[in-house]
Amino acid sequence: MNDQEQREFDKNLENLRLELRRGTLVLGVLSRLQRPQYGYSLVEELGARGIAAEAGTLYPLLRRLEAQQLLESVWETSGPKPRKYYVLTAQGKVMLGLLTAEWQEITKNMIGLLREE
Amino acid sequence: MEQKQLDMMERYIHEVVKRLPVAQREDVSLELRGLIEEMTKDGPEPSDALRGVLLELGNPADLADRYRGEQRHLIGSRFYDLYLLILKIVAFAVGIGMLISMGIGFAIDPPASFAVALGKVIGSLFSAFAQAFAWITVTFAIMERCQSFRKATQEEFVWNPDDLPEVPRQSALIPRSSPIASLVFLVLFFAVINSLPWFIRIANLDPSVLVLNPLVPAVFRRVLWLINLTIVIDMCIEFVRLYYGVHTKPLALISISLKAVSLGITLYIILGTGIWNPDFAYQIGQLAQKEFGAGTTVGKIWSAVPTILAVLSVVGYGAESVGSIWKAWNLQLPKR
Repeated sequence: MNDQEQREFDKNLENLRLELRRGTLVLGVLSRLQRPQYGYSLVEELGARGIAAEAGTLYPLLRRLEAQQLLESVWETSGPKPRKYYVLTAQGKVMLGLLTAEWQEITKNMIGLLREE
Repeated sequence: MEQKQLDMMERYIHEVVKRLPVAQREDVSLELRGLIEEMTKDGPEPSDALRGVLLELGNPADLADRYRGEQRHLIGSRFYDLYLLILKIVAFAVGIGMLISMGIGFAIDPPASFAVALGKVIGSLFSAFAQAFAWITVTFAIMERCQSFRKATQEEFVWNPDDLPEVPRQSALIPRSSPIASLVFLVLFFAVINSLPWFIRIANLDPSVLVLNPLVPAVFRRVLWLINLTIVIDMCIEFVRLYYGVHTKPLALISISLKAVSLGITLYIILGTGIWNPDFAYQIGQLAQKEFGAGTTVGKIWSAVPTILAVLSVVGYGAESVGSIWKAWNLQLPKR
């Protein structure tokens, strides 16, 4: 591969990786919000567990999930600076259960596929 | 954070939230302020950290896009090709139409110098192109909005393979050249008819020129907007034909009903407005008498012109309607 092709390849790799991760991020977020957390603590926790999530992606995602009534939020103003805490709603809990089952099914099948050569 | 950093942070937040709906702005501002403060705290050098944090969050416009969660565009991919095609057709026709009408204008009333003429041509072309561009863009933007509105409201609509239309026979396809030619003609007609009052005014300035005007100028100016309306309706029909690209029943019904409106207006203009100059018959009779000695015949023919035009319009409309109905109902049958 020459330089040009290498750059093209790297760009494709980056896009495909992003695409692959994008779907899993929602599940990761839902799984961490069984107890209330604010945005940045979520970024840190996911990061510490090897799930890289950019704040610029995660914050809008949290709002979207709230609009879909999977999360609810409350502003915590008693601390030195106000923080918005998110937590799963009843609907969100059901969704988490269903998506978890889906994820297990996918991983099981994918592992099978990838193992076969 | 120092004041300078605070300023930069506020500027960043403002750049994000100004692109969001008003109701969300305060909430997002608070959230982002908390986030940025938290992120800068972790950095090694607080004074330098903010820059890094903002770079990590990225371009404010992109961040706002993520918050909105939707692509914002005026004209989407569904209409974009058609939009470009129409722009090209109209630009071409407007250009030619303007040049012709200005050419006639210059012939009647020669400009003071070449520079003046050139200035007029450039100025008029520029404003005509700008207008055409604006109107086409607005029309397509409205089409796009209607499309997304339909998508949003018809979420329950289930697409069914049984609804797929038959592949049209070759003979049912409308060749693109047909609506394009009509559009070019309509734009030319539009340009010429709208510069008529101007020609007449200029021609009247010169007493040595005998102006025989079959129309009453005052009435013509009053109904000019109606004439333009029929041109616009006819253009809409051609756009729709270009968009469908094949004779179908809905297309036939749309064009027949739109044409009925345009026919109604045309008949009103021809028969109901007193637009025809009653003296014209006399003037032309005089002229004909002088030239060929057949004045009264010409006068009589002239008085029948409105009726003839009206009959021709109705007959034309009838023939076209029958034609498009026949095509829609017969040509669409699949080839078996």
